[in-house]
Amino acid sequence: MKRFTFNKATFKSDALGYASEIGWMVLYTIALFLLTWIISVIPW
Amino acid sequence: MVKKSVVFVFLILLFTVPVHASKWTINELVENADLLDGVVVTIEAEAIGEVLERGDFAWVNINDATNAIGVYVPIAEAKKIKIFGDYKHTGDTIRFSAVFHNACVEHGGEMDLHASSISIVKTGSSTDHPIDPMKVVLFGFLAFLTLGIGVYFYHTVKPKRVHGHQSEDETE
Amino acid sequence: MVKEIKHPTLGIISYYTGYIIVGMSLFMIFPALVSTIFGEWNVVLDFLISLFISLSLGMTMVLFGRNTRLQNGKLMWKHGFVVASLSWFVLMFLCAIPYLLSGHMNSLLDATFDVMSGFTTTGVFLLQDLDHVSVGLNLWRHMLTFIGGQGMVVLALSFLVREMAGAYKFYVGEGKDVALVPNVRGTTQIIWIISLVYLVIGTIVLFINGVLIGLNPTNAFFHGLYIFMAGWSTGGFAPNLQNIMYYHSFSYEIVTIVFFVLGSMNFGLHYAIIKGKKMEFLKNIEMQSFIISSFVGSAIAAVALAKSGLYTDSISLFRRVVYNIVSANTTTGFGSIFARQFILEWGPLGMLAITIVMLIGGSACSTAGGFKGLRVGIVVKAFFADMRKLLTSERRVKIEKYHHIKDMVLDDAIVRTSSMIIFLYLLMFIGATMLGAYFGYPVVDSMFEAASISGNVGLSVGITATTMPSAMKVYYILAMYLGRLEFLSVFALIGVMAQGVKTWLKRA
Repeated sequence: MKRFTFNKATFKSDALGYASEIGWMVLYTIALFLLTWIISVIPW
Repeated sequence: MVKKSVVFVFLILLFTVPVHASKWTINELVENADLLDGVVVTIEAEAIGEVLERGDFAWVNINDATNAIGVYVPIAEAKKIKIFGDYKHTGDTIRFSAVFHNACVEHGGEMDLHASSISIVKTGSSTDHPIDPMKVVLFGFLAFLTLGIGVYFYHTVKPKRVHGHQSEDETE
Repeated sequence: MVKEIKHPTLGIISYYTGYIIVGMSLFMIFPALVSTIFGEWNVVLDFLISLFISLSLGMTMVLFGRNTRLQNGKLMWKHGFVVASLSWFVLMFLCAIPYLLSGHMNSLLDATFDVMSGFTTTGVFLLQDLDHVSVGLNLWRHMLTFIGGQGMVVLALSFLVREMAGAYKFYVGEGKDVALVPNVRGTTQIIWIISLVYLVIGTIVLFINGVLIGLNPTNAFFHGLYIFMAGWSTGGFAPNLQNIMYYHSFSYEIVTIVFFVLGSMNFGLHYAIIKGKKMEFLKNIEMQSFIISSFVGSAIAAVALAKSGLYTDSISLFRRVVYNIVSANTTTGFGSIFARQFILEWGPLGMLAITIVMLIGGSACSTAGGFKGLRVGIVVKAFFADMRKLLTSERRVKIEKYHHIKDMVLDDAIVRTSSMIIFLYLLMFIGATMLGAYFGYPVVDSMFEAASISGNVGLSVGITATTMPSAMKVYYILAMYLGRLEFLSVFALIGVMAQGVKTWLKRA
């Protein structure tokens, strides 16, 4: 079984990867909210 | 059908609201949310979890065995509740009159209750969970059994595992 | 003492299933420890009793099949499938023991129902008096859904069994068919590392949020842990009856949206993004499918509810309508309204929108259920490709492609498998709807519940209750199980059992 070794460069790029995933989620949620807002202002 | 129930609810309200608001269960509130929107209702239920403080007000979650709902009350009122329901406690039973909202604009459309005061009708208590002696016996028996199998397992399976070579996984 | 089994198939199955049972039962130590800390002595006993029963059974099964060890590499596809489905089935009973001993369940059937709902990350429950459940049992409920979601068979095997030739077969058997790195142990490790990294991030974020909304720190930690586990695994359990409404917090809801949408994403996609392919999020066929279905579903439901006049501002619409749609689409099942509100207030259009997104579900190789975005995307793409073929000259043969981590050829085989599984889901859904109708529930209600169960979602309109007919409970358990393992494994189990019966009949 391969042991895990701490690698600073990998850690940094992985952290960036996780951050970008969360970033996408924030964008997704904002877009969803904008859609809701548009629907709420239209008088149905 | 709908009209009939409207009339029915109004009749109830007509006779009971002026004296003191009519008593409802939480499920009845959910079921008649449309008709009861903005109406003052009386609820009696157990306070559960803990008080969630929000500035001058606080949320108290209550459960009356039919369902659970949040009540928005002034913080001083919420402080009256000493015991909240959880595994180790039966919470205080509180009684209050509150305005019912089907979709509360102030709270993001939540179905909730806004009360200005609450009273405690029954103090909660801590719940005993006495240990069943049979459980202890069962525990002892199973402990020995597992130990026995474990020892046998260790001697039969464990030592030979060293010889089993580790092969690479295949993927296709 | 224990006789070895000479029959090779039975031996192999017994050996690996035994190891999985041993592995899963070791997890019972965690709730036992937590209950010790909180002084819930009764619960500690419950978990230790369950632990001993499961350990004894698991070790005995390994002993029965111990000669398997010597004949490496003879693992066939059917073994992988059978072991995966059999261990889920056996574990359903073993993991139900703490539930039963807690006194919160009305029957063994109810307890197994709750466990299967946890394993399959569905989230419906028959547990009584949830608001008075011990910390230990609550931890156990959420652990089941978290571990079940990431794949417990593979987890147990990759830690406990040295000889992992053919592990890929178990892995596919459990409904995860992406190979991130060339060996399964590596892939499993990556899946678990991603999940655990998010477990830490999610618990911290929810803990901070919990303290800010007025939970005391201890509760904030446990609620954060529970809600993260239930959200990430798209399970939808919560420690209190009110589900996500217990917190009365917009911010708490937003944080859960982030984590359950992340949880519904394909682990292959996570891996690609984490390794630097950031734009993969938009290019991926599954994300495209999910974004379209969640946006269209949200729009339809929001329009329906805005038109009804119930919710007039955007925040209400977002928190009460869009939240539930996204929760349904990712097959999570956190609910921000009361179950009966769906029936009483959502109207036919709203109900239809949420039922459809529940059936579509999240991504393949994630913790989500449903048809899966990948399959829907592939079938839709194939449909348009065929249309184009009809309209253009027959000479020009164009190879159709779809993008999933890398460009892949849209061949007939993949289209066929995808449509077959969608078809099976639909059959199961129709069956559940009809069963509900048979027992006298309104059709729209039973459709909603059927979609929720077949897609492993966990939203409910109130049909799932301890009072519902036992036949429905059994069908629901089966539907959750089949839906989660995506049919093949369970069919293999049935096939092997039928074979066994046949040989046994011949001998007799």
